Amino acid sequence: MLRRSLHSSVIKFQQNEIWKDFTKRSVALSLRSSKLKQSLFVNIEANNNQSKKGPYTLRRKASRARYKSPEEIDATFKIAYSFLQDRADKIYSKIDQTNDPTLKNKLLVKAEINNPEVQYNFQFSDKIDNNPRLIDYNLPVYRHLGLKHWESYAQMLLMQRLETLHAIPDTLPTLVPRANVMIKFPYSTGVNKWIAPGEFLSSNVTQFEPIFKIQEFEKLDLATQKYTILIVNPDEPDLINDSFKTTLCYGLQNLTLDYNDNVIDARKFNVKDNVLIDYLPPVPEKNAGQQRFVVWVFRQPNPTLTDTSVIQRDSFNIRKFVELNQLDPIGSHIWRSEWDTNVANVRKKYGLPKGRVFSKVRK
Amino acid sequence: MLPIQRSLYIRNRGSLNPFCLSSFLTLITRGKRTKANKNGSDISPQMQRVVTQLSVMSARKKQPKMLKLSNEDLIKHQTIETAWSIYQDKLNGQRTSKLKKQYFAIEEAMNKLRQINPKLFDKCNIDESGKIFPMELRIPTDYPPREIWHYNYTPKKE
Amino acid sequence: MLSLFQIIKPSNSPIYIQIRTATKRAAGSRTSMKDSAGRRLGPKKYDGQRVKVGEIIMRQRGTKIYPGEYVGIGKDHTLFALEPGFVRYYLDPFHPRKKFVGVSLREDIKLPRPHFDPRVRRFGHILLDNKKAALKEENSLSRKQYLVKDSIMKKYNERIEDRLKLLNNFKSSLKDIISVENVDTNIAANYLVRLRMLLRNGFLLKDAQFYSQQYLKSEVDLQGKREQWSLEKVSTYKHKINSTCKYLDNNVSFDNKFKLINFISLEEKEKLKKELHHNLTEEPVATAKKIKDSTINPSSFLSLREENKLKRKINSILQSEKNAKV
Repeated sequence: MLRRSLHSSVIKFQQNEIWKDFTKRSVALSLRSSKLKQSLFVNIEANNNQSKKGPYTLRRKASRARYKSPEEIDATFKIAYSFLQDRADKIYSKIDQTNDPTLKNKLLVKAEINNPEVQYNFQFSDKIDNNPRLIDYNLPVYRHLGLKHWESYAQMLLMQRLETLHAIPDTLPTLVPRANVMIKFPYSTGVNKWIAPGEFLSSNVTQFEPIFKIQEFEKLDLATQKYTILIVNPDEPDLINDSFKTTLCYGLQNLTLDYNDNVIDARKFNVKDNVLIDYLPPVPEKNAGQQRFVVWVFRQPNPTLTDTSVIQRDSFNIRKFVELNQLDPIGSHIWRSEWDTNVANVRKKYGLPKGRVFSKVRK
Repeated sequence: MLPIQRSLYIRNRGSLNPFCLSSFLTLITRGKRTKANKNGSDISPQMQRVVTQLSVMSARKKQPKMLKLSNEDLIKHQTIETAWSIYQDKLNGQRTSKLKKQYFAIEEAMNKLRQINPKLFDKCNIDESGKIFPMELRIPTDYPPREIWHYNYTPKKE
Repeated sequence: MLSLFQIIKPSNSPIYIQIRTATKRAAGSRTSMKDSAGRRLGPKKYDGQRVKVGEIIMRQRGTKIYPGEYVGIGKDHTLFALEPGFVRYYLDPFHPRKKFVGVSLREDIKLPRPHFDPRVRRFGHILLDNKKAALKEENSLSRKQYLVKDSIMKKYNERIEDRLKLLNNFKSSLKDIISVENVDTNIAANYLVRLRMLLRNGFLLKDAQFYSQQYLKSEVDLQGKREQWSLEKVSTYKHKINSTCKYLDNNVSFDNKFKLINFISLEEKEKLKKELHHNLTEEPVATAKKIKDSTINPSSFLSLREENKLKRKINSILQSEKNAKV
């Protein structure tokens, strides 16, 4: 009885089409293709016969002819759309009244997250090498969706790899991941692939420095925020103590990022200002076991690093360095290397001494 | 109206799907062997056996196929579902707030009653569990019955 | 009853001896005979005792005690040392209901160690000083590696050969496309081979250009370091690379099959595309024939996908034309 009495109340929508208004809103909140737009809103703008042609995204004519949409989906979608749009409109009016930036951010996400165009853009386009016309990470809603997508798989994978390979706590105590860090080695073999955390890479692949992609999801002032990147190898044999020591393989400082343009390669920094220490490629020695190369990305509290005195290639103390500069670790990555027959070539190329050879069996 | 539309949409979703299993199943039914299909079936017994074995082996055939929606329809479907859940949330919120209001109003009234007249308050709070609605009470109807009142009625004696 | 008895009558004895054979099983408890000897369970090494690798610390049924740091567990739950050190029995706050036994590498280390501290690890391998032994060890391969080595090397050499061929090909074909005086042919060919590879791997043109250039530069840097070039020499070489790459970027392009062609900018591509589209709608048959005779070459400004689509379209146009004539 109660349910029915509530259901019978007629829903009235205001005809304020906030999701179709791009005077205040970004264009990235709309679909790119006009044909796709037509196909999605086919019965909302009822003056075309798109419905007879079938969905635009089915490329082949035959499959388009064969395809049948679920019955009543368009009419129901129309109602659902106007219901959600009406809600979004109310949220937008609330946004105009607030001054609190975090609340504003939250509301901006809430206002757009149910927009089918936004959902379409996010679900059906590249989230890593994103096109800012479709997925613009400057917008809170896309950052939110990106964060959720990252948390659903890549972040968990990273943490699993860091923990099982003991990158934490062998390098830094722990990590609360906040930014998605990815690496790629385009200079050496030219393979166009983001490396999955924990992968074994050959010495040929890693002979030149990687490029980094750091995707931030939090609302930050990226114009002033600077970043530091370190690559450390905690598995360099230390024969005197019959143990291991940490080598610093690469260090970059005072880097700036953007939400969309965030691939860090040699175009983004110069040797004089940004390179803490040159790249030393992985050259594991025979029978020294696998070596882990841990990439750490930090947010700097200051525009420049305060204390770079502990920067040294050999026996590098990353914990001390982080503590001295009050760096905030936000993301990490890891790859592994092992001795292979190409290591000698890499050593020759970099003018390094011949690699030592260790006994196969541990004594 | 939204609920009706949605229920229609939900009801029709499976049966009208072009990729639905039903058309496939009419070809090879793995049913009970009856007299009718013993002689009149268009599948030979050997074929039937193969079909049976295959259907035992593959779990895929036993579960309904996944709905294959085009990208647009998938987004539409998601939009509908979110709108529906938000709408339901809203209704639930309204309902709970209404009930809350009712509850607090009753509580307030009872408190007042206790102050004014404790005797009445106690009488109000007598436990009535087990008390049944009087069976002889007539349900209200649009028209009066032919026999207006059962004058000779006496309740059953136990 | 008589049948149950055997009466033995010895020939020389007058006495009858009556014996009763066992026709009924002796009674006894069903399980009493099954007790085995003690399995000698229990700790074999106590707290603080020194152990070598593989020494057994504890024999047990089930996991009365769990393996902790540097302790392994066998199939019958025997605990043994994985590293030489000192035995420590301990409780771990992360697993409040379990007892552990671990091996600490040094006598002063107590277990469990602080959770966020780096692990204490032992390297364990010995440096091979003997040159001969070291060389032997370095050249030794596992059976698996040994078996695949030849095929891998064959493929590798083929790749190198192909690349060399491509390099020579570029060197010769560059002369036809651009005036070679402006560029160092060696650098140019190397750059183009690199660029082609990156483009084939799906990098964007801008990125591919930068990464190939950067590759050449870092190669020069390393060569300079190796051969102790003066800074000036390195910078002039780099400058040469810069100018060559810039010249090439503005004077040659790759078509959609990664063949070297005359330079074509993005705007030009768009323009040509539009023109083709226009021609196809205005006079489809003539344009189709032109493309068929390859007087117009669409591979320079269309992507491979677009070109294939165009081919299909042309074929259908020509087919319908043929049908109309018949």
